[in-house]
Amino acid sequence: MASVGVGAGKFRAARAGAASGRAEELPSSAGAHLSRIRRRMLLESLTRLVLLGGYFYWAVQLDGPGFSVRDLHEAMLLTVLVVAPGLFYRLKNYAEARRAVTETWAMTEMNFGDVARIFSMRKVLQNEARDAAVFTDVLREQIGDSLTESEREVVAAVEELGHLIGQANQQKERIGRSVKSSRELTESTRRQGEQSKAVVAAIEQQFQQQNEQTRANFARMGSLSGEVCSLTPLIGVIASIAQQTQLLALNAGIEAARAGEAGRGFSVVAGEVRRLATRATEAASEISGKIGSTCSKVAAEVQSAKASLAKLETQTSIRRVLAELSAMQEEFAGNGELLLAVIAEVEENYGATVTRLSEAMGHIQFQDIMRQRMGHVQEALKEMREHVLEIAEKPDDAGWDGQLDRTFRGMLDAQLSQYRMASQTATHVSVAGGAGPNNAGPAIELF
Amino acid sequence: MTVLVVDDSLTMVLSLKTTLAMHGYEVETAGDGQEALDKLKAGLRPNLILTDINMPVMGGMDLIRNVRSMPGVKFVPILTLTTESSTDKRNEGKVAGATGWLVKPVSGNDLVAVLRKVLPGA
Repeated sequence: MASVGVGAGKFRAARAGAASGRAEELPSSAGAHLSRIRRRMLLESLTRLVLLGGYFYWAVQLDGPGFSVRDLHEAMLLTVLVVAPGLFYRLKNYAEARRAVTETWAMTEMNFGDVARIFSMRKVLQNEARDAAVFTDVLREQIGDSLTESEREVVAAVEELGHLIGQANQQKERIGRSVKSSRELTESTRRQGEQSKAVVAAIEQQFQQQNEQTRANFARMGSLSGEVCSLTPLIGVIASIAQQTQLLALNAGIEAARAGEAGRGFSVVAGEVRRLATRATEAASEISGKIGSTCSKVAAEVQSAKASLAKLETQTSIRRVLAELSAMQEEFAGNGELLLAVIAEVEENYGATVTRLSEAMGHIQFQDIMRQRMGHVQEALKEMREHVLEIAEKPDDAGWDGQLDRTFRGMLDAQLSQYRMASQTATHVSVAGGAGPNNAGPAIELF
Repeated sequence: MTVLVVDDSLTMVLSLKTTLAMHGYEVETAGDGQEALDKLKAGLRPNLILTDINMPVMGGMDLIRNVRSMPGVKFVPILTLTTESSTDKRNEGKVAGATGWLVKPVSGNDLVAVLRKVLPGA
């Protein structure tokens, strides 16, 4: 590369020399060539002058004898019209020929290897420029594919989140319905518990009254039974007295019979007394039977009272069951409150989840921001590709004046004016300088 | 409450739809301004329009101008949600008839707060 650089330097120096007219640097062969050109130019000019002189002579002869002022003017005009353009043309040709000779000399003097390397270098650079276009194409496609892929994945993630949120919403609705049902159930249970308590209280009161009544009945029957049974010995005494009275009346009758007529009246009395005693005995027997019957009835009543007491005991068991049922209802109501508390906590957690998911959805917007920024980069790469290809073709363009239609600096300035986001402008300015548009307003603005 | 979301980015459309649905909004979507206009002409009556600015076929600015001259929806609040943050674009949007200007990214909670401010009772 260094030798190529030296060869190119010589070539540029030769061109500069040719431009400044330093003919002394030319070799003798080149100088001889230029001298031939000069001689030919001088010969042509002299030939034109001789032809012009002949023309004058012939023209003067045609106009008549003598040389007038008019002839002089014509001669001057013809000289200007015929000789001057030819002379100017020849001088110009001479300058071009001189420059060509000078460049040819420079080319000739240069090492042919250097020339070959220059052309080779130009080809390498042109090929590199063309490959740079392919390179930018690959980069653009890579960016495009990455964007497509990232968008596809983000969309899939958002859709998945959407499904989850949909399920969460359904659960929330179910929870809402459960809350309503639980509240209704709890309230119903509470009301039933109160009703049960009232029922139990009423039953308990009834039990108490029935128990008291039964106890009173039992006491009365016991007292009656005692009184009735206490009559049994008295009946025995009466029966014994009646029997003794009957014996006494029998004795009195015997004694009255023994007394004869005197005892006849007493015998009547004794007979009456004996009948009375007999009726007393019969009455005692009847009373004893009735007392026995009464005692049996009292015993039956007592048995009935015992049955009532047993029944009371059974009813006490029912009361215990009711009490247990009431306790269960109260416990259920308590569990209902606990369930409501759990559901309320679940709802609160759902609210927190919604808040966090909403934040996450905001972060997902960065994918769109990245997409747009990468879109700008793709456009810039496309522009760069076209520019590099233009540059690659310029050396082959014989009419290229060394000027470029667009430059990287111009493209940078154009980029700066096209940014939408403050972050894009900030990145550009931090790297390449310049001043971008004012795009640093508030994130949320209501008009 | 129905919100019409207009954006050419599927990511944006889905994330906004999910966010707003979570907060109880009904969401209709369109991929560009023309599709949104077609839906409005077909009878869609959203309570609010949330639109991007730079979109193919028809951008957000033209959509705003068209909506502001369309009977039945001309008074519907229109919020922009865009990466455009320059003062010039904001002013252009304000003149066109936008109700507010939101620059991406905006968190879902901030977005819902703005919607509740613009749509009292939502």
